[in-house]
Order: sequence, then C-alpha cells, then structure tokens
Amino acid sequence: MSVCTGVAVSHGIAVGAALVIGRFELEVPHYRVEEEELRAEWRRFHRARRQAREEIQALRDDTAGKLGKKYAAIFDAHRMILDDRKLSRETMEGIRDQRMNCEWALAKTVHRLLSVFEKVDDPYLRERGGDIADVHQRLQRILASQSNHQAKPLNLTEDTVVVAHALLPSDAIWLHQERIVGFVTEEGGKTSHTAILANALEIPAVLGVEGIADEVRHGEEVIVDGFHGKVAISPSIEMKQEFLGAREEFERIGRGLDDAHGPVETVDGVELTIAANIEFPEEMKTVKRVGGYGVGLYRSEFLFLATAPKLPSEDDHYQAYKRIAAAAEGRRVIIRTLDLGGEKYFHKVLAKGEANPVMGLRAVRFCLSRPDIFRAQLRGLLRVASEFGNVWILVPMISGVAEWRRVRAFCDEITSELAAEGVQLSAVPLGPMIEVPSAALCAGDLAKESDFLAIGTNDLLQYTLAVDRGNRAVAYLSNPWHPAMLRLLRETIVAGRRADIPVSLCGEMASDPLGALTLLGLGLLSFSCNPVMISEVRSVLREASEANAREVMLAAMDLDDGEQIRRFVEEAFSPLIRRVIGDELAGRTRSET
Amino acid sequence: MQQEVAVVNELGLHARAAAVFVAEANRFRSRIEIVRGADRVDGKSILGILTLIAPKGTMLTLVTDGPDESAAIEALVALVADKFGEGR
Repeated sequence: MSVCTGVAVSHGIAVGAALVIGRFELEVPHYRVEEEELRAEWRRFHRARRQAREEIQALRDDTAGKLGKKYAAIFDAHRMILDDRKLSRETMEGIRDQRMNCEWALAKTVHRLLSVFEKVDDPYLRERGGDIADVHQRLQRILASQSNHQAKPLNLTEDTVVVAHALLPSDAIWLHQERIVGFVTEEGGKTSHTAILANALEIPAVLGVEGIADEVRHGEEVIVDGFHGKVAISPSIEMKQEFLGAREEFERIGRGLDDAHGPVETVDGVELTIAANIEFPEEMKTVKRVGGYGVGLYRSEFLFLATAPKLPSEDDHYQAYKRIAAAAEGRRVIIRTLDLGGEKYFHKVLAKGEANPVMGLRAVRFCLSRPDIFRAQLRGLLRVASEFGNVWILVPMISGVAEWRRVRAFCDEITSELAAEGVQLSAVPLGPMIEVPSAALCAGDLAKESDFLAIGTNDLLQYTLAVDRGNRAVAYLSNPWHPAMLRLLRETIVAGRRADIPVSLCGEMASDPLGALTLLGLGLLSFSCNPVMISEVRSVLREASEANAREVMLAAMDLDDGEQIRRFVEEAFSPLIRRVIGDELAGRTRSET
Repeated sequence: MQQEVAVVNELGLHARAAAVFVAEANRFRSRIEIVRGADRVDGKSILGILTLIAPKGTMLTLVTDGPDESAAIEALVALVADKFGEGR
C-alpha cells in the first residue's frame, strides 16, 4: 500500500484495476476485421514484413561495416525471427480465425512466445526474449505508420484506471470508453491535453505523478483522487472506505444542489442560459443528466483526431454534428470550426516547425489556408444546421473585421454551392469567437456583421496578458481579474448588447462560481461550462442578484490592481458561494482559480 | 534418428547461436526437432529454439526424420559441440 501525489486536473474519485501502458503498447491498435477485409489485412502484414526485412538488412550491412561481421550476425537472427513460419502462421490464424487486426494478432503471438521467458528466474536468460521483442517493435512501428484504421477500444470487463507515462492526443479515441474510470500519468499538467480530455470525459485524473508507471503493476487496485491529486496503490480497506465516503459526499452535492431542468433565473428575475462545453457527441448523455441548456461549445478537434491520419469527410462531419443536434432536442448547439494548432492539439496536416505556433497558422487562419478542409466541415455543418435549426457556427481566433469578412464570404460561397445542388437550406447563425485582444477591442464592428459573439476566456487571457499559464514560472500572472481582461470582457458584452445579438462565453472563468458571478456583474447572460461544473455554477447564479453583482463589479473596476480586484470580488461573493455550495467545495473552487 | 548433445558454449542457445543452427538445419530436407524434457520444438524455427531457453550445460536431444536424416544429425551435433562456430 502506498500513496503518490501529483496534480489534480479532473474532479472525482475513481477506483479500478490498473492498466499500465508504456508508450509502445498503447500504439498497438485492437479492432475487429470484417470478412471482406481479411485479405487486405494479411497483405498489410506482408508489406510490413517486407519493409522490416529491408531495414534489418540495412542495419546488418551498416553494422558489419562498422563493427565487423561477428556483431552483425545478430541481425541474421532478427531476419530469421521475422521470417519464422511460426510467427506468420500464428499471426495469420489470429487474423483469420479470430478476426483480429494484424497488429493485434501479431502482438498476441509475440506475447505468447515471450511468456516462456517471464517464467525464467535468471535475469540474464530472461533477456533472451529481447531479440523477439525488438523485431516485434519494428513491425508494429511500420504497421502504425502505414495504418489508416483508427484504433478501436480495448474490450475491458472491469473498471480500469489507465496508468501511463504520457498520453497522446490520438490516444483519446482509445480511452473514451465506459470501463475506463480514471487516468494517472507521469507527464502533463493542468492545461495538458490529457487534462482537457479527462474533464471532457468526467473522469478523475491525477497527472505529473513521478515514476507511477513503474510503481504500479498491471491489474493492481488503484484509487485516483482527482480533488487532492492523490493516487493510492493497493489501498487498505480503511483507506478505500475513506475515499469512497468522500466520493459519495461529492456525488450527493453534485446531484442535489438544484433542479437540473427548470429555468435559470437570478433572484431579481434575470433569465440566464447555462450550456455545456463538450468534445465528444457521446457527452450529450451527461449534458442531459446535469441539465445543461444545450451546448455552448462543441470542440470539433476530436473529430479530426478520430479520423487521423485521414481527414474527416463531409459525411464524417455531418454524422457527428447530427448526433449532437438531435440529442440536444431543440436546444441551442454552438459548434466551433476546427481549432487545431497552438498548445492543445497537433495533427499531420499542420505546418511543422513554427517558431511560435500559438501565434501561428492555427484555427481560422489554418482553415482559410486549406479551403478543402474548411469546405468539408462547413458543408457538413450547414447541412445539419439547416436540417435541425438549432445549430450555430462559431469560428475561432478571428482577429479582425477583414478576416471575418473573408470567412463570411467563404461561407456564403458554400451556401450557394449547396443551394445549387438542391440542398434545402435555412439561415444559420454565424459568429466569431472573441479570444484575440484585437477582436475584443473591435467587438463593436464585428458585432454589426455577426449573428452572435462567443467569448473564449482561456485564450483571451493568455493573449491579453502574454502569459502561458502552463509555464510555472509565470503562471502567477495569469489572473482573469486583471483590469485589462475585465475591460475587454465588458466591452465585448456591451458591444453584443448594442448590436442586439447574443453573447455567450465559454472558458474556465464560466466554470467557476466566482468567475461566473464576476461575469454576471459584467452583464453576461449566457454561460457555457464544463458539464461537471454546471450544477455548482447554476445553483450559485440562481441565488445571486444581478443588480448586486453589477454593483460589485462597478466598484471593482475602479481598482487598478488585479490582485486587489480578485480579493475584492472574492470578499463580496464568497458568502453567497459558501451559503449555496458549502464550505468545503467553495474552498476547493477558490483555491483552483 | 536421434542423438543427445550438450550445449557447451558459454552463452548457451542465444539468438546468434540459434540463427547459426537454423541456417544449418535448413540446408537439409529432413524434419528436424529439438527435444528437451517435455519440450519439443521445430529445429528450423528460430522462435522455437529461442523459447527453449537453453543455457550452457543443457542436454538436448536432436531428432531428424527424412531422406538426409543421418547427414543432418551428424552436421548439427557437430555444430552444437563446436559451440556453433563461435570459437572461430
């Protein structure tokens, strides 16, 4: 029994059997092959073997030249392992009889072969399996680079905590399944991709736990405490009960804070909408349960990751958005067009080697430079939006009016294109994401030519203060109560009101009761939060007075020091927050802001 | 035909030695098997030989069956006794 500590990035407490994954194993995709694909699968294996043979031959020649024939002989052994009939026969049987994809069938065969080495006590002899493992890795690497199948989930039969050195964005597709209840990784922090994913999936996660992948054995019981950043390995019964007690308490509060489905109104009668930020169509289940008022931000990036290395087709887009639009049952769904780039995601189609990718060719800039990609997405979106009538299109990282006009023109072009093809179209709301300071400063001009505005506080804060909050050395400067940030927020909200168009806001600020009250005081009426935080934020807003929040913020904005403003706002709002959600949760919320 | 032989080289049946054995075994048309206790593996498969995990001092029985079985057993027994040519 031992307890390790890391960074809590996603709330909740999970108990499960450890699935310890090295980078390599994670890259072995598992999926079922259909009858008509069997031949192709077998050919794929042969192609990989051919390439591996060439590589090994080249290595052999190289080694013979540099170190002599005697050393090069090991590669003769590797070539023989590669060409061994046992290897190809058993792999083929796996493909043919059990319909395994060739990577999986190969891995199974190799694991069977290597299992005899695990039984040997002498560590020196155990190492003998190394040559087989080496050849296996070579084949898997080759297969991975030529595969265009997306990985399909493992067939897990018990609650599982994934323990890994690090998780890659492309792993999301694997990890997204019911039996995976928690993540623990050695790498990553609060703003890492894994953290975003864990939040999206409502899975407790603790990241940055040094040495955890070596510490935990496969199948060992692990508790992940995503409140306190603790990981318990093989916990005692008492310890387990303690963790589970804490979980029950959290769930009780999470469920019971307020009525999930009634209208949301402040005590002084101002009507608000609280929607959800999501990344997967599957999350609509959660959104419904917590009563989110539709979707305030659907991040379409995961759709791109799911089809990688291929790009999603128009139909891929159409199908995914259709699921969300249908599940929302008439409630508003704001879908953001591709926001690849920057720190969160990467993809092969992106330009490599940008010196400063956060300010480089990303989001709408990337889309305008690749009209083929943008067109497929917009066509899928416009079709779904016309069909369901509840979909709004949001375009990220707009920096000014000229760029916005290019987007609108492109969208009009595609609308005419679709109309010419005879597709029934209706007017679809199109709005810019306000997350670049220049856009916030020109929000009035943008508002005149937009159907709505959506503020993204995470990027707006980073660009306004020139602070990467993932960088520990400067993270202390990342303060949303900085007067510059508050002024930009207020100006944008006011600009929307003047143009009489809706202004929605997503980002962490809206997922925190104190941030949400601040925004209410700045005039915001439409909030979009992480699904797990909806209940807390909503219950606090229902007990708040809009007039009072406005007064607080009016006074706060007379101050010139961001730290001072934060303290002032905290003092003004914390009695309300404590009264509604209790001391423990209020304390937790505040300390994380 | 069958004949017993001891693994006498320092490293035992490691990958390079196994490769040499397999290369030699494949020169013959006969079926060739290596038996150690209850384990019986294909002498023309390096994976089979490697999974025997035979360190120095292991007693192996070579079994050959086919048109050139006697030539095969002679060559292979000599090869094992000669430490798979490692000394040269």
